[in-house]
Amino acid sequence: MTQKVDNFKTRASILLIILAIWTFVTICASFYFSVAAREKYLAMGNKIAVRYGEYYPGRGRILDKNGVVLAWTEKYFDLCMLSTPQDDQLCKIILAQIQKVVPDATLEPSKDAIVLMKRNISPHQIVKLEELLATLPELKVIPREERKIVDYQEVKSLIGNITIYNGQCRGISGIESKFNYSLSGKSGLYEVMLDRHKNWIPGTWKLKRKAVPGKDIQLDIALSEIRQKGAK
Amino acid sequence: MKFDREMFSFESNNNSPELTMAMTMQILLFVLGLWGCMAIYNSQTLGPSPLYFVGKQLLWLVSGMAILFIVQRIPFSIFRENADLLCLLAYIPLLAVLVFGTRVNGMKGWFSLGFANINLQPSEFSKPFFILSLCHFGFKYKPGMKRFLTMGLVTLIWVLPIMLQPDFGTAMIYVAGFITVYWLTGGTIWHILLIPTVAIPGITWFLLNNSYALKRISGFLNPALDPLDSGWHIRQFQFTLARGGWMGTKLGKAIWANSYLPLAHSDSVFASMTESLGFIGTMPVILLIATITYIVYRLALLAKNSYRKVFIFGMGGLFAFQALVHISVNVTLIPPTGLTLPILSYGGSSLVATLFGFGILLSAASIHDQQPDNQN
Repeated sequence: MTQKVDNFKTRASILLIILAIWTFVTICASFYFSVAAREKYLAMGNKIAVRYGEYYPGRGRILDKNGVVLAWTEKYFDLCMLSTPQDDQLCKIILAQIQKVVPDATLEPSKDAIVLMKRNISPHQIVKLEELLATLPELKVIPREERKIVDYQEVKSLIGNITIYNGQCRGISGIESKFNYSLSGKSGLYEVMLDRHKNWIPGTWKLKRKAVPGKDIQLDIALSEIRQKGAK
Repeated sequence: MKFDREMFSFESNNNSPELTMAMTMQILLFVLGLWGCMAIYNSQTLGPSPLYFVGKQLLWLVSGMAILFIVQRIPFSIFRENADLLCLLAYIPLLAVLVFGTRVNGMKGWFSLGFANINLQPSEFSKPFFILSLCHFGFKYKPGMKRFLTMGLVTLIWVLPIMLQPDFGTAMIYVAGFITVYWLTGGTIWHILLIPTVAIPGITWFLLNNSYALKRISGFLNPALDPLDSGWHIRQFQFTLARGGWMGTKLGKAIWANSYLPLAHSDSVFASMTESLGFIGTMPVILLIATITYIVYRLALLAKNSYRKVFIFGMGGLFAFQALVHISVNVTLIPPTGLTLPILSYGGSSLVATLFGFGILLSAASIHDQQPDNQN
């Protein structure tokens, strides 16, 4: 047998009312952030996460008058580590994980800001590295463009050199410099969200402005003529 | 103890309102559990294995529901008559975990079972027995200071090992349980007001001696002051809610919760849900929790015995209080406490223990082995 509690219904009802009022307050707060002040907080969040970036179209090719390609661009991807751990043991553990995908990658403790682990990794390896890239924010795949010229000294002199400036090829001498504007094309603009490790969040990439590819330049001289001139 | 079919009461009177309410509650709890699974999946879609957490949670939900069905069929008189032994059995793991426990998220509050990556949190399973012990002392003494002090001492005994873990969120739930049971057993408001007068100097002393806790409070009060450290969690709650808007970003598209929100599948599951389902989409969750709480209230009123009335409402009150604290944290009304949203958040211990608690609650609400109150 139990002693009867006086006014149980009243006491329980008071607690129920307190819980109901509390629930109402939480709904109001949720409404404030989700709806009423949404734009303000969205803008603040976007400041942290949304980034805009330029992407450069492929540089145009340089052809001789017969359409033979004299200069062209090839894209490669390098595996790099930003801020390498100073601990040798930790380096070995990380390297072991990476070597499961890229067997000949290397990693030594270093104070350099960026350490090259492996040049020219394949697209297949990049796909396989996706999980590691998400968990190891210091690990990066960095794209790199290389300008190739047919292997004749005379042609190389005529075509000239390029340099990489802010990730874009820029002609600094010869035809590369003279026709730089046409060969470069126009950069595109994209928007992307980054996670807290500064990795791209899948599915958030948006094109804001389309890139205009660089134009091919056709010279009024044939490859054989360039070589003959060079020989003289 | 005499066992007969009558004791397993919900089966024997198909038209009783208790039966209807108990069945409704079971369905609502299961629906809430499934909703939780969806929320957990949603918060992990960008992770390396999106189905890992939801798969485990679904298994815990099915196991928890099975435990609920079994426990609700145990006559409540068994729990009541053996309260001393049961409370002792529930209390020992709270002490043992301080010595043999595993540290998770900075708290030494878990037993690692050593297989299938399963951890058990004793402070979750001891909640019904804590309420049982409060009911025991609440009805042992007449209303007055002696009862208040005794129940306060009992609460302190339960809360102390939890605070040593340290798990202040759960400790707060226990204190709320004490206030609820004390109030329901006829306590006065003046006695209850003594609690903050004791607690406030204690909390102040704690804050002054623990810089991380003080930092957390300052981060809550002014997240703009240090948005990358102490204000980080608060800011992420706000940004996640803002991304939800009215209708949300669709299921599986909780980008912010996946990328920025800490513990999106457990301590921050309400905010994570808001991002996907929007303000409108979270209303059914609040409605489900409110309906369960109202059913608890109705079951407590229908019980013929005061001890059971208090136990039923005390248990349901704990559930509602924890849910409201979680939601309040997620909508940045109060500082982060590390509490999960019962039934919905990821965590086997929390889910199974809550359903276990509801099993005892439904056992207390069964009508057949109830003795009426002593009218004297």
